[in-house]
Amino acid sequence: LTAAAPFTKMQAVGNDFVVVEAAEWPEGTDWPALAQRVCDRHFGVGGDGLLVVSGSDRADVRMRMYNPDGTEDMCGNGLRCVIRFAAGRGTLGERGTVETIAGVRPFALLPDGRIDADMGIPRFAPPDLPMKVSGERVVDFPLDVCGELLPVTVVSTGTTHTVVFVDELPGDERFFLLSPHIEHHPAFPERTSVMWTRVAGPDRLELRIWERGAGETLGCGTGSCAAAVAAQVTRRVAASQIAVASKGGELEVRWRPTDAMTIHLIGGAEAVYSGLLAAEPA
Amino acid sequence: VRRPFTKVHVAGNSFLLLDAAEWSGVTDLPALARRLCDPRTGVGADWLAWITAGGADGACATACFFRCDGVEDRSGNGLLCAAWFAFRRGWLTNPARRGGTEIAGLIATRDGVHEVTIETSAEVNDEINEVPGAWRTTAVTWAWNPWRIRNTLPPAVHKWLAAEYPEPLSHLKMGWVDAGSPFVVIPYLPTDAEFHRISSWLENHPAFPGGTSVVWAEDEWGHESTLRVWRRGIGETASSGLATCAYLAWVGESSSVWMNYPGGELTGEGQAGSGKHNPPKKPKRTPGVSLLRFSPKGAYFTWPDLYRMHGPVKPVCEGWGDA
Repeated sequence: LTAAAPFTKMQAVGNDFVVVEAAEWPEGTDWPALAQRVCDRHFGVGGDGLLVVSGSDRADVRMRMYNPDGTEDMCGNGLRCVIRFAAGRGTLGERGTVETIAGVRPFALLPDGRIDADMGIPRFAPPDLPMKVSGERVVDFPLDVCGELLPVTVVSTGTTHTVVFVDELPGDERFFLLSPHIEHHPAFPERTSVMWTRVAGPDRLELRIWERGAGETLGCGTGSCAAAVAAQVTRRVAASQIAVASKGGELEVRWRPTDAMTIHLIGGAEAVYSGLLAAEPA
Repeated sequence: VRRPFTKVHVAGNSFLLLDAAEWSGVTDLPALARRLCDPRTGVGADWLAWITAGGADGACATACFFRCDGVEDRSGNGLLCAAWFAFRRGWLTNPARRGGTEIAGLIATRDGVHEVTIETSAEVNDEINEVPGAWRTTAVTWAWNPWRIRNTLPPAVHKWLAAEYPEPLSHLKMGWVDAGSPFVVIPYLPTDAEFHRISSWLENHPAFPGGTSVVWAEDEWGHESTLRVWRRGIGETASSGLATCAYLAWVGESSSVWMNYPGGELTGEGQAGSGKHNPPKKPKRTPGVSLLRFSPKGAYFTWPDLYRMHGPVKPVCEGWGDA
């Protein structure tokens, strides 16, 4: 393949990424444009996002995550993929730090093969979300979506998540109708992801996930964190260690609603294959 | 064990191309197709093509095509990809036939041996604005036995369509083509909701025991059509080579037609009387194998009986995956 460049395809709970090491690509690579090209499932490699791994002045490595539409974002499952990728190349040890768009994130590789990533402190204040509403927190707020008032709880775990608690996860028709309307609701100046959440037990949640810029995905790390946090602050769940299941698998979220308590997201990540990308179209 | 593969696409219809010799020892190809074609936990593609060097009747390669659901099926774009792969591997080396710009050969599949040509000139690459390493590939496919066509749908199917979508479906002349893989043809460009609901319903209707693909099409300028295709076992595909031929057969077109798909353009043309079969010769069907569970009474057979399709094969990546 002419002028090919290397990449690794990785996945974590069905959330899949094209991972590249910046040093192996030409200087000045247009990462947002590359994300749009490689993430396309018909014409490209296919993925929920592009992860670019590089050196950092603030941490052991730096990760930048781009959605399929080219927008830059934070991603918990992407963070674990980057940790696995860099650890596999000897850049990271069993403990370390990763610089992300949301700050520096410490991590630890667990003996059972999973990765424990510190996802930082959840934010609730509307200017931090961001969301155009008054008040200190957005908890069970009635959001007008297509004429229906949906009670939503909005949390930022590095990226904006709107958590909608439901008795049953929505079917295709309702999911694909309402989710994009919530994503693009005028109350969210930077759009939002949507976590449809069912409380399935005293320490268990089930999600159906709509990610901004990507559509439906099988898993979402920051979204799992947001759902677990929202379940606690709305007193739907009392446990501080919560299993969060989605179509792609299960993650564990640890958090207590006390000041300055960071969220811990625990789960796996694996390489699917390595490859060389064909030259860019003329 | 990490083994190599190549991912390519033809107007957005994606294929994983595997050299059988490099995947020796793998026997459960349907399971391999399901695993590798999974978009999130695998490589991701509409199809897997299992390609072996050499073949019957002088073929330079033999190809089998598996849909992403693991079922083996016929694929027109797959033929183009197999030709491209054979050329890249140096198996397709017959001398050029037209001014040094084409390389020709034969590719064997389950349903026979097909002529293929690859145009390699810089002129062609410029003309179709190809990426480096991409070639315009042409495959010739015969309407084996020949293909059956019928200008109606089973009564129960037609009744449901007319009831659910009285406008415009109750007034349209819909039909089916048995191209070795069945296609329902509906001469109308649907909305997204209509496309997904009706196509999915038709695919799973008991009238089509192995499922059916659905071609939605609208003629624009006589020699140009816009198509949207639902392929059985896959869902919506960005383009389809076999649908191109099936649609040509259904409209009875024998000249060259541009087919505009969501993923890009393919061209197809029919050629009368140059294949083995001429109507109204009765087709030979394998006993016990029926693609359609309703009477073929009233069906007629393809004229022309040979189809040629053209499309660009574009490489996406080369990779190494687990067997």
